[in-house]
Amino acid sequence: MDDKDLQYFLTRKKKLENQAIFGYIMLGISFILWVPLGAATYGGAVPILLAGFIGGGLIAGYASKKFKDLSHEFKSKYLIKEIEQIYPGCEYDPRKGFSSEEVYGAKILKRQDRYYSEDYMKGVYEGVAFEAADVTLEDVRHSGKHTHVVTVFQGRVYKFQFNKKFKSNILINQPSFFDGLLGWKRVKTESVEFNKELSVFSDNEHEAFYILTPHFMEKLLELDRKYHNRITFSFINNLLYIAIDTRVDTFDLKMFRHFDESIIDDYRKQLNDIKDFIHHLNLNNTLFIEK
Amino acid sequence: MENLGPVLVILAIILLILVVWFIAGYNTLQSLKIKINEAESGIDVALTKRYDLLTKMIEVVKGYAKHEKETLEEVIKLRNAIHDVDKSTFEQKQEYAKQMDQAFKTINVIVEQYPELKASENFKQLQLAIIDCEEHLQAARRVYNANVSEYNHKVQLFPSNIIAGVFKFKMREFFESEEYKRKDVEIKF
Repeated sequence: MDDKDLQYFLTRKKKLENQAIFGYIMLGISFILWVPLGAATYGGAVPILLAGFIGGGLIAGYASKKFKDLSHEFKSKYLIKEIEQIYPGCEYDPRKGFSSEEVYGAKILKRQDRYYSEDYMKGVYEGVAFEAADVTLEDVRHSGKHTHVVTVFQGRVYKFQFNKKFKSNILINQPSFFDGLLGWKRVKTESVEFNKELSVFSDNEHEAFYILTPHFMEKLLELDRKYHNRITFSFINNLLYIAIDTRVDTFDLKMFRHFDESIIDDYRKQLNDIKDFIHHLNLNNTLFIEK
Repeated sequence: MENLGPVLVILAIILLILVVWFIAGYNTLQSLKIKINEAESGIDVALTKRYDLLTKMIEVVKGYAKHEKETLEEVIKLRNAIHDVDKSTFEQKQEYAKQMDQAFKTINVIVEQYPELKASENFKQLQLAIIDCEEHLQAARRVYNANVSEYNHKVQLFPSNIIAGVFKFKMREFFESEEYKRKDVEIKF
């Protein structure tokens, strides 16, 4: 992204932020004045204050929607160039994501009330096919008349072609009380450290050990520590799924957040995750693949 | 006599707890024994596949390395000493695994001297199959040893050792692995 491009985005970003601020100020003033003016004049100021509420809300909402569009424009025009540089030929669609059936089918995340997915990437790196997308899962909780939404998962899900053939399903997640509900058997490896930090479930103990060689287990542990126990792995249909609960909307532009080259560098770092997984887990090792 | 009532109830409860504990302990040991036997059959499968691959490898090498008659005969001798893995004793299986290791090592030495053999498609395919088979054998060994370890703990440690003693559950032997195989497969041809 050159300076001219950056300046263009900064100008539009600033304009939308100002619009949003104006809307929020209108909302705030109407709210503050509601009690003293609305009550004192027996409702005389109510229409003006109501107009302030509605107008402020509409302006803030409009600015927010336009900002989302700007974010998508940024992603499809400029982020794609960054992606192309790291992963030539990679397909990227900011509005597309993994289907909920695929993510739930991989057992990597538990079903929730609301499912969203965006920022879909699909490509091949060093002979390894990969896909990745942002996923957000929300649980809608009701208590009496109140309803509130809890974000259960927000982060990135990765899918890699795995370099060993296997028929069974294996799930590796953080130890939890509800693990047994999955219906698969808990597999205890010979590594006490690994068993303490991660739980392994599978419908075939032999294949779990076949995939989880001592060296591979060490690599998984390193990733678990790197992502502060917020990572889950699932091996299913000769594919490896990785879900990381980063609590970040990966490539979205943030309103009121200072935007400069350091943010682009941050995106590059996040994009490099795919490369890092492939190298770290030796997924590009063709020892077990028949050509 | 009337005062004995509560005591009898307590004794009956204690007895019931003991019986339940005995049954549960026995079943745990028995199911671990079954798991060990299942894991052993996993080793059998991997060893048999490895034996078949060794036979194929000998055939491929024979075609190229005609001047290595003596060395090949040594390998064939090692292979011929292996009979019916399924029906062999545990000690024999361990011995077969070692013999196959030795046979593959000898083949590697031959292969190093024949670049055209190394480059042949047949050989490459076999090489991949052997690597995969080695990984399966390692997995089977680890499953077996993990189950044996859990079982042996139960047999030796109190209070499950009481049940093990009553029902004559004996300690099981680990499937030994050569030091280099404890690491991930790194076969170089």
